Amino acid sequence: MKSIRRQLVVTLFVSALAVLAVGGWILHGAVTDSLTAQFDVGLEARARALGAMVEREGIYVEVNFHEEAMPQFVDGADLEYFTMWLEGQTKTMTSPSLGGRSLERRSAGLGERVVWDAVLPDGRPGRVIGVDLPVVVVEDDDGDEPDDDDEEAPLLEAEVGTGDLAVTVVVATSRESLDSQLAALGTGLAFASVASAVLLAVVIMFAVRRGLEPVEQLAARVAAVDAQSLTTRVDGDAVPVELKPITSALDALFARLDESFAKERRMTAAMAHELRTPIAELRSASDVARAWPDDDSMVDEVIATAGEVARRMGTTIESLMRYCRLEAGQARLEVETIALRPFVDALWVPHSLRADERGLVFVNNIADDALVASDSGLLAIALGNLLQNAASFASGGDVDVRSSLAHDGTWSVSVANFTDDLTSDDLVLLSEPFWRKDEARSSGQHSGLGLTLVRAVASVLGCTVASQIDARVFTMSLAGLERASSVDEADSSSSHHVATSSQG
Amino acid sequence: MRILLVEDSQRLARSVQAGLRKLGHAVDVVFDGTTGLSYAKVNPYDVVLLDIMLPGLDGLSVLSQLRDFGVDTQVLLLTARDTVEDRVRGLDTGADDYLVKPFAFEELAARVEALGRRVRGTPAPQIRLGDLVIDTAGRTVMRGERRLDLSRREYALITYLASRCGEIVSRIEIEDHLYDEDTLPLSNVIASTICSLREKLEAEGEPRLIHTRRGLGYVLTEHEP
Repeated sequence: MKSIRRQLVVTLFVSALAVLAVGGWILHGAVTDSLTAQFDVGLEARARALGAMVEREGIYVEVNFHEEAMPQFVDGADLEYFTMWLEGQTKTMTSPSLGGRSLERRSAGLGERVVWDAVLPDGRPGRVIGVDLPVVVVEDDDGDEPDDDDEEAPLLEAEVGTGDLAVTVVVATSRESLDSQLAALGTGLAFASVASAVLLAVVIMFAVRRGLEPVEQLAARVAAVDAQSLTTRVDGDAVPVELKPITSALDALFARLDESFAKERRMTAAMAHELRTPIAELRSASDVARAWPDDDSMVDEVIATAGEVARRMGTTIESLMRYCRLEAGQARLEVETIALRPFVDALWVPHSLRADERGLVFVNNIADDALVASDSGLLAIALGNLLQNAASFASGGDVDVRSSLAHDGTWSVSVANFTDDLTSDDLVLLSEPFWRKDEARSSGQHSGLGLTLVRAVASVLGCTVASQIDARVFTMSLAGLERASSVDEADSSSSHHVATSSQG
Repeated sequence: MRILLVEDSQRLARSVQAGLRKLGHAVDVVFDGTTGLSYAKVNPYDVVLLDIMLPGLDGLSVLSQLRDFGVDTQVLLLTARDTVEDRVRGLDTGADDYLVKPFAFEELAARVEALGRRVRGTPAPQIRLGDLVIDTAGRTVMRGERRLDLSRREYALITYLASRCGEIVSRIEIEDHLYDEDTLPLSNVIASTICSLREKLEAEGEPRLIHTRRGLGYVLTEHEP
């Protein structure tokens, strides 16, 4: 399984190791160069000191080498070597340590130096420097040959011309001390690198763990949320800004789930009441009649109750089945032209008696030319339920049915009536299965599936359902009905399909 | 017992009322919470059967207000809601029992009897007074080895008197507990029922158990006061 922590640790550790390696390499190179340069400076100084031994007096040159001043060129453990070549002279000047041999001559021009590694005559690894130096001119007092003041014989005495004279000095020394320093440096850097790597690993793991703590805390809080605590919110000021998008999304998800669960609970409670109450009525009546079989009134009550319960449950189940078929996309559309005005008139007939009893006035303001191409059976379900709701629940006054032609050429039908108890908060609940404003669900005339059916039918017909409350006037609209033009078909189809209307 | 049934389903209310009346209880029925609350406040009911989803005022609000008002009548909630949360909420609000719809009428009757025993403070279904044994579960009354054939009204009266054994029970109290609002007793019906009950209790010359206190009422006791 993919692990952010492992990925972070590995990536950071590898990156840190790479940085460490490059840094170590650069440091090692810099220190090596520095030590080597320092070593070479010392070697050059010795070469220059040797070059300074070449003195010129007039046309004479003398090279005096004092063994006691530079014993390393004679013998000893740290034996060094030099060879000097005087410009224009064939004879070389060599250190006693060379035993008559000569070093390789390399030079880079007057004043310049050239340094290289070589194997010393004694077999040790060495460092060699070659430099061309101008011969030092001393005061020529008498124009004679140089005085022979020294006890040791000069390395060279020669007569040269009057022009500028240079001497090439090549000095070789063991580089063991430099190598041991460089080895120590390498070892130190290696140890430091290993120690740093270990430390880095620990620091990175700690930092990653610390950094991911809010994620773990968030996970724990989210894990603690269950169906009973969906009002919990995980977003807050303490949440790191990087997790804000997640916590915001989670809170939104919890809110949706909470609403969904609440909807489910409402529907379950309503459905339980809708189905259990008639069963309770039937069972209670039958139990009582069975306990006192000689009482005819009890038997009559059972029969009446059974008939009423069967009717109510039949209506409810029919509505449920119709809703399920619509939701499952099993409705088969038979589109025909429908004249809306006579269609609505016919749909109102089953509800007119109830409306009259309640003092409602039906006003059909649908335009005469309102023709739609739709499935009359499904349209009858949708509009029939809207009319039944108005007839059953309007608080008085008119039930006003209107049509309007939208810019896109489709017709909409609205049913408006006065209401005393509906609020704007109820609008979102209207289409929930089994929802009824009367929470006691006392009336057996409705099951709360009517508007659910309306929305399902609208979806199948490609229409939309809208509802609004404005100044106690509740309006439900079915919009998006396709416009038709054939009048003949409309007249013949309007009455036939009203019989298929089914209210919830 | 006198029972108040608050149930908005008229068909259910009718059958339950009829059944409970057949069992000898006096049953008042109302169909909304507001009326139910006012009835329960003013009448001395032994048991209230209360639906939760009621028009006007829901059952839990009725129950809560009843308890706030100091009415400690036994309340049995009748509802279609069957989740644990619903039951807990109902019992926490002050209900004494909870029955989910649909229910068997026998179970409802048994629970009502159980609540009645709680009212009487006699957890056992049998009430004994000397050689008189009233079995509220089997709804039988024995005097010694003799089983009495009592009418519903006589059974209700003896049971009520037995529940207040040794106490003087006034005629008004008897009317309040034995008759619902649909059955207004004539002035002599209590005396007539007492007389009939005495005849059956003393049919074989047994000692009198129901004694009259003139101007006060009746008392059920095995000792002559």
